[in-house]
Amino acid sequence: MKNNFFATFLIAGLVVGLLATLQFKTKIPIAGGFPSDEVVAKQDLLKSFLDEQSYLQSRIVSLRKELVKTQDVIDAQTEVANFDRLEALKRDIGLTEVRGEGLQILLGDSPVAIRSGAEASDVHLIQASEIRDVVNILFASGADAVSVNNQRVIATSPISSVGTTILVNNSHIAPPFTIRAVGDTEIMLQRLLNRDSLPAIYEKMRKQGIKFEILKKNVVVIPMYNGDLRTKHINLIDQ
Amino acid sequence: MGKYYIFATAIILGFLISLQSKSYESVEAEYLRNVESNIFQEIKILKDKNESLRREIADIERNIEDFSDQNLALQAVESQINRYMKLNGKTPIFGAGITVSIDGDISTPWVVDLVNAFSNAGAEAISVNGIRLVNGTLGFDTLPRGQILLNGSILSTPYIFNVIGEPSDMISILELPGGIFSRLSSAIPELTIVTEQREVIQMN
Repeated sequence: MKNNFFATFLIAGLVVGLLATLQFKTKIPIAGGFPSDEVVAKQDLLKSFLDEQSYLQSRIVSLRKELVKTQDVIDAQTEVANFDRLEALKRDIGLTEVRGEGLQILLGDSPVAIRSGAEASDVHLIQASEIRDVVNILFASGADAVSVNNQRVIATSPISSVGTTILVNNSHIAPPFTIRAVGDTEIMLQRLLNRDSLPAIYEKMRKQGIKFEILKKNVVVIPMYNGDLRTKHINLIDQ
Repeated sequence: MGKYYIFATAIILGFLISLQSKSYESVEAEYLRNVESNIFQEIKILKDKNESLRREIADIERNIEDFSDQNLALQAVESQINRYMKLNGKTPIFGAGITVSIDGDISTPWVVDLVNAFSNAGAEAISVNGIRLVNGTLGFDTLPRGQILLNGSILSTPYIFNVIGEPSDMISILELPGGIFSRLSSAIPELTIVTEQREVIQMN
């Protein structure tokens, strides 16, 4: 009896010792082969690309404005150039600012959401798909122009995510997400308030407490598209 | 007395096991939070985007330069008109690309996601069942019986997506594990997705 008790105690002691050793050998930052300073370095690199992107986008906007001024000078000097047609085309493809009556929609993460860090949880965050759904509903309601956090949404604008980061036109945007639309406010409002149009958003609003607020505005300003236009593979069919 | 020792040892053991498992969870969370592919993917997207923005800047600067010469200005205007006509959807176009045929019961949000995935993969022009998606196109809508409405037309199956852009690049992105095709097939297993590379796609 005494021997059995001793053996049980010895085995239990060994197991406890083994577990204690394992416990103290677990080093969180190194366990993934991912030292925290490496993460910081990569985030710095990401930030440098983002800073460069902001600069390039603002440069495009200022250059397009400069181009318009230069065109105006030429336009005043000659009547041959087809500037009216050019302006109409620019309006068609989103290269002009649009102002008018519209809606301002705010989509915000749940108050308990954490977008970065170990506690980041998808259910409390606004996802790219929810922004896409709102933008689609706005266009389906006849919106003339739509922007998300001042990024003009055109026909080939991707709205996507990488991890918990949201990208519109491949540019980073941060919450809260402000979607603006110029168009018939009554039609757009009616569609957005219909729970069947946006079931995921209304469910998340009820269960996770995400923010979804709509404001009617007399004047909404949608900026011109500030990205690149891809036409490398497109050819016109001569008519 | 021995029973009490064993009981106490079991409690300590249980405590340590749970502590150990929590440590592993924490390590896993730390690792997942910083998954390298995410941050590298982000950097690649930004790098490509910045590169195309630089090309756009060079293009506009060339236009501005051309406008300083009255003779070149007229050519510059025509060149801009030609470029923008390719995008406004009022002139027929053609180019290399892919055709994706989807047969099955698919909902509007998935169609929106699919179109978004094409744009993300580098699409320059997209049409669905012959309707070109441009700035003036009305978005996708769901009718009460579940049919998909686009620009006032009810879309019927199979849904044919014509996409102009670099075919091989687009296919490799769309067919990535965890990409749109893989997610779509997981969500709707009975769906048939057929992708075809084409040298010429025409859109009206």
